[in-house]
Amino acid sequence: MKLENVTKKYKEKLALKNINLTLERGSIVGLVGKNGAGKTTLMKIICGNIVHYEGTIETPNDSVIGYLIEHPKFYPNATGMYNLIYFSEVFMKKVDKEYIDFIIQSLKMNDYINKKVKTYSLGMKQRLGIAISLLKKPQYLILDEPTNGMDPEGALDVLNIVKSMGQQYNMGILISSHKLEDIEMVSDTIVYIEDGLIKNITDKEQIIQSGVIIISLSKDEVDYAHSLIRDDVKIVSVNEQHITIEYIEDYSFIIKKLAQHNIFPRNIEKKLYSLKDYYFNLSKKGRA
Amino acid sequence: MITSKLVWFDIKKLHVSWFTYLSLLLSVVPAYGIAYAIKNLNGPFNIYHITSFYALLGSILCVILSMRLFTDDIHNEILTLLFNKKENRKKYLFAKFIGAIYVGFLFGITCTLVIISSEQYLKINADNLYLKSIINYILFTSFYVLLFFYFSTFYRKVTVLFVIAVLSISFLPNLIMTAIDSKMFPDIVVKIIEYTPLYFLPIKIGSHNFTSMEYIITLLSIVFLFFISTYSILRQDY
Repeated sequence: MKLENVTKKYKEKLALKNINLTLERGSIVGLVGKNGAGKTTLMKIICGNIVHYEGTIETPNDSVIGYLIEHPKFYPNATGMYNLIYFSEVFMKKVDKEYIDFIIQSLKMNDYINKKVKTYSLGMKQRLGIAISLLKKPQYLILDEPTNGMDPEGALDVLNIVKSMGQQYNMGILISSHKLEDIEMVSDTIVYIEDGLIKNITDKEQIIQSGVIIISLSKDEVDYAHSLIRDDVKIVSVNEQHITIEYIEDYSFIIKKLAQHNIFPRNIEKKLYSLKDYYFNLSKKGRA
Repeated sequence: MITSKLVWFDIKKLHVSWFTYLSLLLSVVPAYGIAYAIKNLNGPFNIYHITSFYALLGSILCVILSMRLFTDDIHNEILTLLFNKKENRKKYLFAKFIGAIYVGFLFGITCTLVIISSEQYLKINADNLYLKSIINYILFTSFYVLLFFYFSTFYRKVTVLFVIAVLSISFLPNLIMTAIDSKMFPDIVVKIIEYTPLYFLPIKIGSHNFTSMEYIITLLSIVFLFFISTYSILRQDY
């Protein structure tokens, strides 16, 4: 799926500006950003709920898109099973009962699937919403806050199921969540969106292999040490007792170089970034 | 999306809902009440009074019942699940239109049954109304459902839609009639108003005495409403 220059205006306000994004089948893209950044609008456009926008969305012929946007939608006075049967019958010529049972079992909904949805907890409703999004065996799956209202254990469980079904059925998955650990757990690529603009697209591996090394020195050594290593590494910051450099896997040559000049750091601390750090760094840059 | 399945689910929903049976019962009770008055109290009534009393609640309830076929989807935000392609939006509208025709048919056939049973009870003949009542209720329901479906494409507060529907069937014609009687409009305007479905449909659904011109106008209005609803539904963001 390829989005090119997707722009959406609400009256005079630009909600999305020239969004270019590719969602490959078999990959999971995590969409992060603050409230009102444009995540849901983007997802609604992809799903076909929003028809007024500029730009193009190219999908392979007859692609099926499953989605859960904002919060799960269903008939609350009917049972979970009725909802599943209803949406599969309405959308598919032949209902695959075995597949429905497989979804129910995978999402561990057996105990309550025959109860009325209005009696469900938020987490149960969320699972039903995910089940509905999977009914059509979609090639692309769009999930907006899929673990909302779930306990950490339940969220982990559901994300693992989504991930494994995505692999099994070769789905391209776009997932957004305010729980960054959820995104970190499942995504291959992270897209950071702010004020309707994609500010950054990064591989998750790249994020979690990035970070800093903090070299602690005595006050009088800092300037000299800085002058010795500044051409060899990327300096992030220098203060009275620390030199912070960008993370590198093998930093022994720096230690050697400093030792040759009789500088022996008091401490060397490796600090690897998590998605949270990545998010807050980008968020700070945005504010700046 | 499979239109026939959507229609099938709507019909099933209608048949398992207590509201359908209550609506039909509430429509029938006043009609039988007046039939009883004719038989036992020698009231100065005829078969048109029976059909008018049937229409008293029947005309409102058939519209409410058929509106529920789409207002439930608006209220529960189901439309966002169904409206993922333009083609599906068209199919949805068509399915709801068929559902409305079915509700009109249910109320029409019930009206016919009321007429037949009243004939037996009162020993009168009104067989010219059998088919008419079915056709009239189908046209009546179709017109109002499409009208409010069109409104719902840009105004999605379900309760307000129901209130406007009830008022437009029960009060609007009387309001227009009062305005016409006050002679405040020139003849040409009065003529136009009299040929407006919002005026003549609620007034004449009880007596079933629509003129050919009124049938033509109703049919054309239904076609027009169907097209503008399609136009509108394809252009709305959900």
